[in-house]
Amino acid sequence: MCLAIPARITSIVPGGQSARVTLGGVSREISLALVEDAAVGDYVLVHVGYALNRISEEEAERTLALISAAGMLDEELGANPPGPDLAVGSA
Amino acid sequence: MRAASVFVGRGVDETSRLLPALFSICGTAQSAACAGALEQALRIRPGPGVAKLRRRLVDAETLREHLWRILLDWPRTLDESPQTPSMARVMALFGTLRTALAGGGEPFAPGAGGAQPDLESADLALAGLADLVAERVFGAPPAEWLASVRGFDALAGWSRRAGTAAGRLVGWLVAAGYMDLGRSDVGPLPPLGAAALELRLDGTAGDDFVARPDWAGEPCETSPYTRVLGSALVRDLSARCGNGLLTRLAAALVEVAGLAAGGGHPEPAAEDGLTAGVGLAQVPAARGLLVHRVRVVDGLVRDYRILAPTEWNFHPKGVVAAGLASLSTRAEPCDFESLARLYITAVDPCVEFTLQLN
Repeated sequence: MCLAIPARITSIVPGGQSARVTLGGVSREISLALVEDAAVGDYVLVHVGYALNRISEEEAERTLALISAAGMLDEELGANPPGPDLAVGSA
Repeated sequence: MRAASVFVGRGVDETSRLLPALFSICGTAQSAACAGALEQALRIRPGPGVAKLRRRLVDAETLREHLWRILLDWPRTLDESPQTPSMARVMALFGTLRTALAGGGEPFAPGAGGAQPDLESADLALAGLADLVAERVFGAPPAEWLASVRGFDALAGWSRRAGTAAGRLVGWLVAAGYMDLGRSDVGPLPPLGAAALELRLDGTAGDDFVARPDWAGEPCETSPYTRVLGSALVRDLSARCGNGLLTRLAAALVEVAGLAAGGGHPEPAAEDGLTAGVGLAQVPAARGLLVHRVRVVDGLVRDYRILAPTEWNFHPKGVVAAGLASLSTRAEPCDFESLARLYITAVDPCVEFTLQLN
């Protein structure tokens, strides 16, 4: 859905193009290509594997609480990407 | 969009502030729909110039979202790298444009006062976007592209000269014979009258409607493609390829060119209210028509429903299902997965998707 998930940067991958973040207790690598000057400890909004922009810790916590209250947190953090599974027969 | 029920029991101002934090990707369109629905429910209107300003902000977001697809997703079909530095610049320019248009106010607060945008800064940011679009998408100023590429032959000629990933993708589709891939009979959503829409959204049947919407008994499409059906290029391509892949990509290009050149979608006509306390808003968001419907009693939200374009397009018998079925009978097996991915991206869902090939 139209969601970007707040996550905290736990480490920057050498080269600075990507970072590791913790999302729901799981460490994932995301691209930093769309943000400037991101640092360890910063909170970012993450969408389809990209950090979009930095946000405050307060905003991150508020948004995560809202996503969770909306019942969408598990769906967004699931092992498989969320969204419709499109089973398509081959030709 | 059952998530919208998280606003039940909350005040109007709180709902208006929180909603774009939750649905942040298309947050501008979501904010516009929220403000419109709440204002109608409360029987209030925003101040002078605010409606037009909201529309400009939504259009800017639509441009940004199209550029995400064109700069990051389209190159992947060609096995090229996503153009992330350009997209980073788009994000920065969009941020500047949005700040300038908001002018230090809160244009999406229900009943927001008169608008005071910083038009000079806004125009500068938009000019920056137009330059980027000229360089990275069209290889020409967007207005010039719109004026000169008005049919298939001109599009094919452009694709050979453009020197951009968009041009290369169009060229590849034509050369590979994939122009009408994914073509189906699912038609565009007609204009929806507020009263008729409210009837479908109300009550328990409204839950089914929001999950699997149809109109006049048929699944319908709402998307950038259905918004630009009247343009010369899209009319010509529709005649040749129906709603197939090339027509869809061209439609995205037409909308990008129009928005980058400073055009925009018309303001909504002021609509009469529905029953007291009920408000409905329809906003042309990046991916298609976005509908919000709210019921407010004593200043608190009692019901909030969101009908997103994704629900129309991903209906079990809708345009994506029909298009993929059609595509699967035509594409070469080695191209199938990347074409299916491109097709879905071209209809442009608001979700990440997993493609399972059986």
